[in-house]
Amino acid sequence: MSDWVNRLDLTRLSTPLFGRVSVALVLLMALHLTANMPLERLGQGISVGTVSAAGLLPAWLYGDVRLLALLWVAFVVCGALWMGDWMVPLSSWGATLAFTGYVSVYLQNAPFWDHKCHLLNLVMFVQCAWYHIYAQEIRAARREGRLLTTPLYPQWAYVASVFAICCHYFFAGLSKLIEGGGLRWADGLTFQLWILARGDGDTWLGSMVLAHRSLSQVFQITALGFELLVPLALFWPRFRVAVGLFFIGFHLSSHQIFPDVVFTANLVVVCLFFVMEPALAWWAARQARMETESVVSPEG
Amino acid sequence: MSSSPTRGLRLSERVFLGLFVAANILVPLLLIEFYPFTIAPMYDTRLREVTLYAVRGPSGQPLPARDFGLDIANLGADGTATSPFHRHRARIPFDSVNIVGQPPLAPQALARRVKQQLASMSIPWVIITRTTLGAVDAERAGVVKVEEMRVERTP
Repeated sequence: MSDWVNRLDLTRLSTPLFGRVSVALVLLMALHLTANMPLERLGQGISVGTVSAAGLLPAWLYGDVRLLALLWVAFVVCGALWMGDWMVPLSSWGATLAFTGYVSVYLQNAPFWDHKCHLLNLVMFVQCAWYHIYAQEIRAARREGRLLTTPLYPQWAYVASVFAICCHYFFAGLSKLIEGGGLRWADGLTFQLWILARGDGDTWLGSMVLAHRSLSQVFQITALGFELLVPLALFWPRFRVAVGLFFIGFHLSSHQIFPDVVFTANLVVVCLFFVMEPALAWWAARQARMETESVVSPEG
Repeated sequence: MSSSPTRGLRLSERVFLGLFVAANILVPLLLIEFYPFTIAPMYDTRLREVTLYAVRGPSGQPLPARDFGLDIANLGADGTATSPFHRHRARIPFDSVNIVGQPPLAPQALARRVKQQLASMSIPWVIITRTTLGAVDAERAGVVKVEEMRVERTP
Protein backbone atom coordinates (compact mmCIF):
# COMPACT_ATOMS: atom_id res chain seq x y z
CA MET A 1 0.00 0.00 0.00
CA SER A 2 2.76 2.43 0.98
CA ASP A 3 4.47 1.71 -2.35
CA TRP A 4 1.36 2.86 -4.16
CA VAL A 5 1.16 6.00 -2.02
CA ASN A 6 4.88 6.66 -2.59
CA ARG A 7 4.30 6.49 -6.32
CA LEU A 8 2.00 9.48 -5.97
CA ASP A 9 4.94 11.58 -4.72
CA LEU A 10 2.60 13.68 -2.57
CA THR A 11 5.34 15.67 -0.84
CA ARG A 12 7.01 17.07 -3.96
CA LEU A 13 6.82 20.84 -4.46
CA SER A 14 6.84 22.45 -7.91
CA THR A 15 6.86 26.03 -9.11
CA PRO A 16 3.23 27.13 -9.14
CA LEU A 17 2.70 27.98 -12.83
CA PHE A 18 0.26 25.11 -13.38
CA GLY A 19 -1.39 25.69 -10.00
CA ARG A 20 -2.00 29.36 -10.70
CA VAL A 21 -3.23 28.73 -14.26
CA SER A 22 -5.62 26.08 -12.94
CA VAL A 23 -6.95 28.43 -10.22
CA ALA A 24 -7.58 31.13 -12.85
CA LEU A 25 -9.32 28.73 -15.24
CA VAL A 26 -11.45 27.15 -12.51
CA LEU A 27 -12.55 30.60 -11.28
CA LEU A 28 -13.35 31.81 -14.81
CA MET A 29 -15.29 28.62 -15.50
CA ALA A 30 -17.22 29.07 -12.24
CA LEU A 31 -17.99 32.65 -13.22
CA HIS A 32 -19.22 31.47 -16.63
CA LEU A 33 -21.45 28.80 -15.05
CA THR A 34 -22.98 31.06 -12.42
CA ALA A 35 -23.58 33.83 -14.95
CA ASN A 36 -25.44 31.44 -17.28
CA MET A 37 -27.64 29.46 -14.90
CA PRO A 38 -31.33 29.49 -15.83
CA LEU A 39 -32.93 31.14 -12.80
CA GLU A 40 -36.45 31.63 -14.16
CA ARG A 41 -37.79 28.23 -13.03
CA LEU A 42 -36.32 28.27 -9.52
CA GLY A 43 -38.81 27.61 -6.74
CA GLN A 44 -41.35 25.96 -9.07
CA GLY A 45 -42.52 22.38 -8.68
CA ILE A 46 -42.87 20.17 -5.63
CA SER A 47 -40.33 19.95 -2.82
CA VAL A 48 -39.23 16.34 -2.22
CA GLY A 49 -35.81 16.27 -0.60
CA THR A 50 -32.44 17.70 0.28
CA VAL A 51 -29.54 17.73 -2.16
CA SER A 52 -27.24 20.30 -0.59
CA ALA A 53 -26.39 22.00 2.68
CA ALA A 54 -28.77 24.80 1.63
CA GLY A 55 -31.63 22.36 2.17
CA LEU A 56 -30.78 22.32 5.88
CA LEU A 57 -31.60 26.03 6.10
CA PRO A 58 -35.18 27.24 6.64
CA ALA A 59 -37.13 27.23 3.35
CA TRP A 60 -37.83 30.98 3.59
CA LEU A 61 -34.07 31.59 3.56
CA TYR A 62 -32.86 29.27 0.81
CA GLY A 63 -35.95 30.08 -1.24
CA ASP A 64 -35.11 33.79 -1.32
CA VAL A 65 -33.38 34.50 -4.63
CA ARG A 66 -31.74 37.59 -3.10
CA LEU A 67 -29.47 35.14 -1.33
CA LEU A 68 -28.23 34.00 -4.74
CA ALA A 69 -27.42 37.59 -5.73
CA LEU A 70 -25.54 38.14 -2.48
CA LEU A 71 -23.50 34.95 -2.89
CA TRP A 72 -22.73 35.75 -6.52
CA VAL A 73 -21.37 39.21 -5.65
CA ALA A 74 -19.30 37.68 -2.84
CA PHE A 75 -17.92 35.08 -5.26
CA VAL A 76 -17.00 37.65 -7.92
CA VAL A 77 -15.25 39.97 -5.44
CA CYS A 78 -13.38 37.21 -3.60
CA GLY A 79 -12.57 35.39 -6.86
CA ALA A 80 -11.01 38.54 -8.34
CA LEU A 81 -8.90 39.00 -5.18
CA TRP A 82 -7.86 35.34 -5.22
CA MET A 83 -6.82 35.51 -8.87
CA GLY A 84 -4.51 38.38 -8.00
CA ASP A 85 -3.21 36.51 -4.92
CA TRP A 86 -4.51 39.29 -2.71
CA MET A 87 -5.78 38.67 0.83
CA VAL A 88 -5.15 34.92 0.68
CA PRO A 89 -6.38 32.67 2.22
CA LEU A 90 -9.38 34.88 3.11
CA SER A 91 -10.15 35.55 -0.56
CA SER A 92 -9.76 31.87 -1.55
CA TRP A 93 -12.11 30.75 1.23
CA GLY A 94 -14.55 33.55 0.39
CA ALA A 95 -14.67 32.59 -3.30
CA THR A 96 -14.91 28.84 -2.63
CA LEU A 97 -17.62 29.10 0.02
CA ALA A 98 -19.60 31.70 -1.96
CA PHE A 99 -19.51 29.52 -5.11
CA THR A 100 -20.45 26.41 -3.11
CA GLY A 101 -23.25 28.35 -1.42
CA TYR A 102 -24.52 29.75 -4.70
CA VAL A 103 -24.76 26.35 -6.42
CA SER A 104 -26.17 24.74 -3.24
CA VAL A 105 -29.01 27.28 -3.07
CA TYR A 106 -29.57 27.02 -6.82
CA LEU A 107 -29.81 23.20 -6.78
CA GLN A 108 -32.06 23.21 -3.72
CA ASN A 109 -34.51 25.47 -5.60
CA ALA A 110 -34.26 23.92 -9.07
CA PRO A 111 -37.05 21.57 -10.24
CA PHE A 112 -34.58 19.81 -12.57
CA TRP A 113 -31.32 17.92 -12.35
CA ASP A 114 -27.95 19.51 -12.76
CA HIS A 115 -24.49 18.04 -12.25
CA LYS A 116 -22.42 20.61 -14.09
CA CYS A 117 -20.67 22.26 -11.14
CA HIS A 118 -19.83 19.37 -8.79
CA LEU A 119 -16.40 18.45 -10.13
CA LEU A 120 -15.31 22.05 -10.61
CA ASN A 121 -16.31 22.83 -7.02
CA LEU A 122 -14.32 19.90 -5.61
CA VAL A 123 -11.22 21.01 -7.50
CA MET A 124 -11.79 24.55 -6.21
CA PHE A 125 -11.82 23.17 -2.65
CA VAL A 126 -8.42 21.53 -3.25
CA GLN A 127 -6.99 24.77 -4.62
CA CYS A 128 -8.42 26.65 -1.65
CA ALA A 129 -6.79 24.16 0.75
CA TRP A 130 -3.45 24.67 -1.05
CA TYR A 131 -3.73 28.45 -0.65
CA HIS A 132 -4.77 28.06 2.99
CA ILE A 133 -1.90 25.78 3.96
CA TYR A 134 0.73 27.71 1.96
CA ALA A 135 -0.69 31.22 2.56
CA GLN A 136 2.38 32.49 4.38
CA GLU A 137 4.83 31.26 1.74
CA ILE A 138 2.63 32.52 -1.11
CA ARG A 139 2.33 35.99 0.48
CA ALA A 140 6.07 36.19 1.09
CA ALA A 141 6.95 35.04 -2.45
CA ARG A 142 4.48 37.53 -3.90
CA ARG A 143 5.98 40.39 -1.84
CA GLU A 144 9.46 39.52 -3.04
CA GLY A 145 8.41 39.05 -6.66
CA ARG A 146 9.45 35.38 -6.83
CA LEU A 147 6.04 33.74 -6.88
CA LEU A 148 6.51 31.91 -10.17
CA THR A 149 10.06 30.75 -9.44
CA THR A 150 9.56 29.38 -5.90
CA PRO A 151 8.48 25.73 -5.46
CA LEU A 152 5.10 26.28 -3.80
CA TYR A 153 2.69 23.94 -5.58
CA PRO A 154 2.42 20.68 -3.64
CA GLN A 155 1.96 17.49 -5.63
CA TRP A 156 -0.84 16.44 -3.24
CA ALA A 157 -2.97 19.32 -4.58
CA TYR A 158 -2.63 17.89 -8.08
CA VAL A 159 -3.18 14.30 -6.91
CA ALA A 160 -6.25 15.25 -4.83
CA SER A 161 -7.79 16.94 -7.89
CA VAL A 162 -7.08 13.84 -10.01
CA PHE A 163 -8.61 11.74 -7.23
CA ALA A 164 -11.82 13.83 -7.27
CA ILE A 165 -12.06 13.42 -11.05
CA CYS A 166 -11.50 9.66 -10.76
CA CYS A 167 -14.20 9.38 -8.06
CA HIS A 168 -16.68 11.42 -10.12
CA TYR A 169 -16.38 9.29 -13.24
CA PHE A 170 -16.03 6.00 -11.35
CA PHE A 171 -19.26 6.68 -9.46
CA ALA A 172 -20.93 7.56 -12.78
CA GLY A 173 -20.00 4.05 -13.96
CA LEU A 174 -20.97 2.45 -10.67
CA SER A 175 -24.43 4.10 -10.64
CA LYS A 176 -25.04 2.69 -14.14
CA LEU A 177 -24.27 -0.78 -12.80
CA ILE A 178 -26.46 -0.30 -9.71
CA GLU A 179 -29.42 1.52 -11.28
CA GLY A 180 -29.13 0.17 -14.81
CA GLY A 181 -29.20 -3.54 -14.00
CA GLY A 182 -25.48 -4.34 -14.14
CA LEU A 183 -23.75 -4.89 -17.47
CA ARG A 184 -27.17 -5.18 -19.15
CA TRP A 185 -27.21 -1.37 -19.06
CA ALA A 186 -24.84 -1.45 -22.05
CA ASP A 187 -27.42 -3.05 -24.35
CA GLY A 188 -27.34 -0.40 -27.10
CA LEU A 189 -31.09 0.22 -26.95
CA THR A 190 -30.78 2.39 -23.84
CA PHE A 191 -28.51 4.90 -25.59
CA GLN A 192 -30.76 4.92 -28.66
CA LEU A 193 -33.82 5.68 -26.53
CA TRP A 194 -32.00 8.41 -24.61
CA ILE A 195 -31.27 10.03 -27.96
CA LEU A 196 -34.90 9.73 -29.11
CA ALA A 197 -36.28 11.04 -25.82
CA ARG A 198 -33.74 13.68 -24.94
CA GLY A 199 -31.22 14.21 -27.71
CA ASP A 200 -30.97 15.20 -31.33
CA GLY A 201 -31.33 12.18 -33.62
CA ASP A 202 -30.89 14.34 -36.72
CA THR A 203 -27.18 14.95 -36.12
CA TRP A 204 -24.70 12.84 -38.07
CA LEU A 205 -23.63 10.90 -34.99
CA GLY A 206 -27.14 10.67 -33.55
CA SER A 207 -28.62 9.22 -36.74
CA MET A 208 -25.75 6.69 -37.02
CA VAL A 209 -26.36 5.47 -33.48
CA LEU A 210 -30.14 5.32 -34.00
CA ALA A 211 -29.66 3.16 -37.12
CA HIS A 212 -27.10 0.73 -35.66
CA ARG A 213 -27.67 -0.88 -32.26
CA SER A 214 -24.24 -2.54 -32.35
CA LEU A 215 -22.59 0.89 -32.73
CA SER A 216 -24.72 2.20 -29.89
CA GLN A 217 -23.61 -0.75 -27.77
CA VAL A 218 -19.94 -0.07 -28.56
CA PHE A 219 -20.41 3.52 -27.32
CA GLN A 220 -22.07 2.32 -24.11
CA ILE A 221 -19.50 -0.40 -23.38
CA THR A 222 -16.59 1.97 -24.06
CA ALA A 223 -18.02 4.71 -21.84
CA LEU A 224 -18.79 2.28 -19.02
CA GLY A 225 -15.36 0.66 -19.34
CA PHE A 226 -13.45 3.95 -19.11
CA GLU A 227 -15.61 5.11 -16.19
CA LEU A 228 -14.98 1.93 -14.21
CA LEU A 229 -11.26 1.84 -15.03
CA VAL A 230 -10.60 5.53 -14.35
CA PRO A 231 -9.20 4.94 -10.79
CA LEU A 232 -6.13 3.38 -12.46
CA ALA A 233 -5.37 6.83 -13.88
CA LEU A 234 -4.45 7.94 -10.37
CA PHE A 235 -1.34 5.75 -10.43
CA TRP A 236 -0.45 5.52 -14.15
CA PRO A 237 0.21 8.92 -15.77
CA ARG A 238 0.18 7.52 -19.33
CA PHE A 239 -3.21 5.93 -18.79
CA ARG A 240 -4.32 9.26 -17.27
CA VAL A 241 -3.61 11.02 -20.56
CA ALA A 242 -5.43 8.30 -22.53
CA VAL A 243 -8.46 8.53 -20.22
CA GLY A 244 -8.34 12.33 -20.42
CA LEU A 245 -8.40 12.28 -24.21
CA PHE A 246 -11.25 9.75 -24.14
CA PHE A 247 -13.36 11.88 -21.78
CA ILE A 248 -12.72 14.99 -23.91
CA GLY A 249 -14.02 13.11 -26.97
CA PHE A 250 -16.86 11.68 -24.88
CA HIS A 251 -18.03 15.14 -23.73
CA LEU A 252 -17.66 16.68 -27.19
CA SER A 253 -19.66 13.91 -28.88
CA SER A 254 -22.27 14.00 -26.07
CA HIS A 255 -22.62 17.71 -26.69
CA GLN A 256 -23.33 17.03 -30.36
CA ILE A 257 -26.06 14.48 -29.60
CA PHE A 258 -27.46 16.16 -26.46
CA PRO A 259 -27.13 19.91 -27.14
CA ASP A 260 -28.93 20.80 -23.88
CA VAL A 261 -26.52 18.79 -21.74
CA VAL A 262 -23.22 20.63 -21.76
CA PHE A 263 -20.55 19.59 -19.27
CA THR A 264 -18.10 22.37 -20.16
CA ALA A 265 -16.71 22.55 -16.63
CA ASN A 266 -15.90 18.83 -16.59
CA LEU A 267 -14.26 19.23 -19.98
CA VAL A 268 -12.04 22.05 -18.68
CA VAL A 269 -11.13 20.17 -15.49
CA VAL A 270 -10.25 16.97 -17.38
CA CYS A 271 -8.20 18.96 -19.92
CA LEU A 272 -6.30 20.68 -17.12
CA PHE A 273 -5.50 17.74 -14.88
CA PHE A 274 -5.44 14.76 -17.25
CA VAL A 275 -3.83 16.34 -20.30
CA MET A 276 -2.30 19.78 -19.67
CA GLU A 277 -0.41 18.98 -16.44
CA PRO A 278 1.13 15.74 -17.82
CA ALA A 279 2.09 17.65 -20.98
CA LEU A 280 3.76 20.40 -18.91
CA ALA A 281 5.52 17.79 -16.75
CA TRP A 282 6.79 16.02 -19.87
CA TRP A 283 8.04 19.32 -21.29
CA ALA A 284 9.77 20.25 -18.01
CA ALA A 285 11.44 16.82 -17.82
CA ARG A 286 12.63 17.20 -21.40
CA GLN A 287 14.08 20.65 -20.66
CA ALA A 288 15.86 19.29 -17.58
CA ARG A 289 17.27 16.38 -19.59
CA MET A 290 18.56 18.71 -22.28
CA GLU A 291 20.20 20.95 -19.68
CA THR A 292 21.88 17.93 -18.09
CA GLU A 293 23.14 16.73 -21.45
CA SER A 294 24.58 20.15 -22.28
CA VAL A 295 26.41 20.20 -18.92
CA VAL A 296 27.85 16.70 -19.46
CA SER A 297 29.09 17.54 -22.97
CA PRO A 298 29.63 21.33 -22.98
CA GLU A 299 31.54 21.24 -26.28
CA GLY A 300 28.73 19.48 -28.04
CA MET B 1 7.83 23.21 -13.09
CA SER B 2 11.12 22.75 -11.18
CA SER B 3 10.88 20.59 -8.05
CA SER B 4 12.31 20.74 -4.56
CA PRO B 5 13.78 17.83 -2.56
CA THR B 6 11.41 15.48 -0.74
CA ARG B 7 9.93 16.61 2.61
CA GLY B 8 7.28 15.34 4.99
CA LEU B 9 3.61 16.24 4.80
CA ARG B 10 2.44 18.87 7.29
CA LEU B 11 -0.29 17.96 9.75
CA SER B 12 -2.74 20.32 8.00
CA GLU B 13 -1.99 18.61 4.67
CA ARG B 14 -2.60 15.18 6.18
CA VAL B 15 -5.87 16.30 7.78
CA PHE B 16 -7.15 17.87 4.57
CA LEU B 17 -6.21 14.87 2.42
CA GLY B 18 -7.78 12.43 4.90
CA LEU B 19 -11.05 14.36 5.05
CA PHE B 20 -11.15 14.99 1.29
CA VAL B 21 -10.57 11.34 0.38
CA ALA B 22 -13.09 10.08 2.95
CA ALA B 23 -15.78 12.57 1.89
CA ASN B 24 -15.33 11.84 -1.82
CA ILE B 25 -15.84 8.12 -1.21
CA LEU B 26 -18.37 8.03 1.63
CA VAL B 27 -20.77 10.90 0.91
CA PRO B 28 -21.84 9.70 -2.59
CA LEU B 29 -22.21 6.12 -1.35
CA LEU B 30 -24.24 7.05 1.73
CA LEU B 31 -26.18 10.13 0.65
CA ILE B 32 -26.17 9.74 -3.18
CA GLU B 33 -26.40 13.50 -3.64
CA PHE B 34 -25.14 16.15 -1.29
CA TYR B 35 -23.53 18.99 -3.20
CA PRO B 36 -20.69 19.07 -4.20
CA PHE B 37 -20.62 15.30 -3.75
CA THR B 38 -22.64 13.06 -6.04
CA ILE B 39 -22.83 9.49 -7.25
CA ALA B 40 -23.11 11.07 -10.72
CA PRO B 41 -26.27 9.33 -11.94
CA MET B 42 -26.15 10.80 -15.45
CA TYR B 43 -27.82 8.44 -17.95
CA ASP B 44 -27.81 5.55 -15.47
CA THR B 45 -31.38 4.36 -16.18
CA ARG B 46 -31.66 1.33 -18.46
CA LEU B 47 -34.43 2.04 -20.95
CA ARG B 48 -36.60 -0.56 -22.70
CA GLU B 49 -39.38 1.82 -23.74
CA VAL B 50 -40.18 5.52 -23.44
CA THR B 51 -43.79 6.69 -23.44
CA LEU B 52 -44.90 10.07 -24.74
CA TYR B 53 -48.43 11.43 -24.32
CA ALA B 54 -50.33 14.02 -26.33
CA VAL B 55 -53.70 15.36 -25.14
CA ARG B 56 -56.38 17.01 -27.32
CA GLY B 57 -59.65 18.64 -26.28
CA PRO B 58 -63.11 18.31 -27.94
CA SER B 59 -62.32 20.84 -30.68
CA GLY B 60 -58.99 19.16 -31.40
CA GLN B 61 -56.98 21.77 -29.54
CA PRO B 62 -53.76 20.44 -27.96
CA LEU B 63 -53.69 20.56 -24.14
CA PRO B 64 -50.55 20.36 -21.99
CA ALA B 65 -49.87 16.72 -21.02
CA ARG B 66 -48.29 18.16 -17.86
CA ASP B 67 -51.75 19.34 -16.65
CA PHE B 68 -52.86 15.69 -16.65
CA GLY B 69 -49.69 14.39 -14.97
CA LEU B 70 -48.67 12.59 -18.17
CA ASP B 71 -45.61 14.56 -19.22
CA ILE B 72 -42.32 12.95 -18.29
CA ALA B 73 -41.20 14.49 -15.00
CA ASN B 74 -37.78 12.87 -14.85
CA LEU B 75 -36.66 13.36 -18.43
CA GLY B 76 -33.32 14.72 -17.43
CA ALA B 77 -30.05 13.24 -18.52
CA ASP B 78 -29.64 12.06 -14.96
CA GLY B 79 -31.01 8.93 -13.41
CA THR B 80 -33.48 8.35 -10.65
CA ALA B 81 -31.29 7.13 -7.82
CA THR B 82 -32.60 7.27 -4.29
CA SER B 83 -30.81 6.65 -1.04
CA PRO B 84 -32.10 5.31 2.27
CA PHE B 85 -31.84 8.86 3.62
CA HIS B 86 -33.55 11.12 1.15
CA ARG B 87 -34.91 11.45 -2.36
CA HIS B 88 -32.35 12.13 -5.04
CA ARG B 89 -33.85 15.42 -6.05
CA ALA B 90 -34.67 18.57 -4.13
CA ARG B 91 -37.72 19.35 -6.25
CA ILE B 92 -39.69 17.69 -9.02
CA PRO B 93 -41.29 19.93 -11.66
CA PHE B 94 -44.77 18.39 -11.28
CA ASP B 95 -46.46 15.21 -10.13
CA SER B 96 -46.52 12.64 -12.93
CA VAL B 97 -47.33 9.00 -13.61
CA ASN B 98 -44.99 8.95 -16.63
CA ILE B 99 -41.68 7.93 -15.12
CA VAL B 100 -38.81 7.08 -17.46
CA GLY B 101 -37.57 3.57 -16.73
CA GLN B 102 -40.91 2.37 -15.36
CA PRO B 103 -43.59 0.46 -17.37
CA PRO B 104 -46.46 2.61 -18.71
CA LEU B 105 -49.84 2.67 -16.96
CA ALA B 106 -52.47 0.08 -17.90
CA PRO B 107 -55.38 1.66 -19.92
CA GLN B 108 -57.82 1.51 -16.95
CA ALA B 109 -55.34 3.17 -14.60
CA LEU B 110 -54.56 5.79 -17.22
CA ALA B 111 -58.28 6.55 -17.70
CA ARG B 112 -58.73 6.84 -13.91
CA ARG B 113 -55.84 9.27 -13.70
CA VAL B 114 -57.16 11.46 -16.53
CA LYS B 115 -60.71 11.40 -15.07
CA GLN B 116 -59.31 12.70 -11.77
CA GLN B 117 -57.73 15.64 -13.55
CA LEU B 118 -60.82 16.26 -15.71
CA ALA B 119 -62.98 16.50 -12.59
CA SER B 120 -61.50 19.92 -11.84
CA MET B 121 -61.72 21.13 -15.46
CA SER B 122 -64.57 22.38 -17.63
CA ILE B 123 -63.69 20.05 -20.52
CA PRO B 124 -66.22 17.20 -21.18
CA TRP B 125 -63.77 14.80 -22.74
CA VAL B 126 -60.21 14.49 -24.09
CA ILE B 127 -58.38 12.29 -26.57
CA ILE B 128 -55.16 10.83 -25.21
CA THR B 129 -52.55 9.67 -27.73
CA ARG B 130 -49.87 7.41 -26.28
CA THR B 131 -46.73 6.95 -28.40
CA THR B 132 -44.32 4.23 -27.30
CA LEU B 133 -40.67 4.44 -28.36
CA GLY B 134 -38.64 1.24 -28.30
CA ALA B 135 -36.79 -1.31 -30.41
CA VAL B 136 -38.20 -1.31 -33.95
CA ASP B 137 -36.04 -4.28 -34.97
CA ALA B 138 -32.67 -5.78 -34.06
CA GLU B 139 -30.81 -2.61 -35.08
CA ARG B 140 -33.06 0.42 -34.97
CA ALA B 141 -35.08 2.27 -32.32
CA GLY B 142 -38.16 4.38 -33.00
CA VAL B 143 -41.95 4.46 -32.65
CA VAL B 144 -43.25 0.96 -31.90
CA LYS B 145 -46.83 1.68 -30.89
CA VAL B 146 -49.42 4.48 -31.10
CA GLU B 147 -52.65 4.16 -29.07
CA GLU B 148 -55.58 6.54 -28.78
CA MET B 149 -58.09 6.69 -25.97
CA ARG B 150 -61.13 8.90 -25.34
CA VAL B 151 -61.68 9.71 -21.69
CA GLU B 152 -64.87 11.44 -20.53
CA ARG B 153 -65.40 13.47 -17.41
CA THR B 154 -67.51 11.64 -14.87
CA PRO B 155 -70.71 13.65 -14.25
